Amino acid sequence: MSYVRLQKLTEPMRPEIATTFHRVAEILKTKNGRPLQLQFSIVDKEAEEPTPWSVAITKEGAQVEAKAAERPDVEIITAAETWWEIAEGKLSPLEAFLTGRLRVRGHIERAKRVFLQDLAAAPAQLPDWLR
Amino acid sequence: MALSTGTVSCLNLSDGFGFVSIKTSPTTEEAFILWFGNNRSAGPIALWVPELQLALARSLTVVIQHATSSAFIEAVRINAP
Repeated sequence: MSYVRLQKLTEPMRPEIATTFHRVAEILKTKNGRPLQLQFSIVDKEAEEPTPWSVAITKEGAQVEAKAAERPDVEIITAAETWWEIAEGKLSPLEAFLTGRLRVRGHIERAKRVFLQDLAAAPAQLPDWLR
Repeated sequence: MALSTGTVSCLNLSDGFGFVSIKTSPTTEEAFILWFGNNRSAGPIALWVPELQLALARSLTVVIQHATSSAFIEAVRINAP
């Protein structure tokens, strides 16, 4: 079974991790511009606590900050290496979740919409059990 | 290791998967995996399902243990009302 992968967030070369979140903000702002607060908690092997990044889509624009979101609609918790694989379009976020490499909390339906539709590399049908 | 605490909002069980969602605050849900694919018969899972069913039916608080960046459940604790 193949799962929905994201658009490449890393072109043209592997950038700073912040660039991937700026790309997420850019895509989501362009896609529908609906207000949304995302938090990415990136787990680094050497750090005890995950590093938070927030992506806020508002009517005024999109903002990325290296801090926790005040009231995230969706939070993704994953290791830095897993996030890079997702951002490079090599690993589906759903596959990462199902193989124990990613957690999601917040509004699950919004998470599905954002990560399996809005940021998807190509339109795809979700598995029956996920609908 | 991390712990997530909340009330069970959904238990989604099938031959191929077992998912549970818990409400950790009035506006926050978190999805966890009991099994996915062929590991259904793995020991404690058989015990967690009735525990979670009971917690769902009675709105009991559950504490789920998992790795920081993994949704796979490692242990389940149910608190008395």
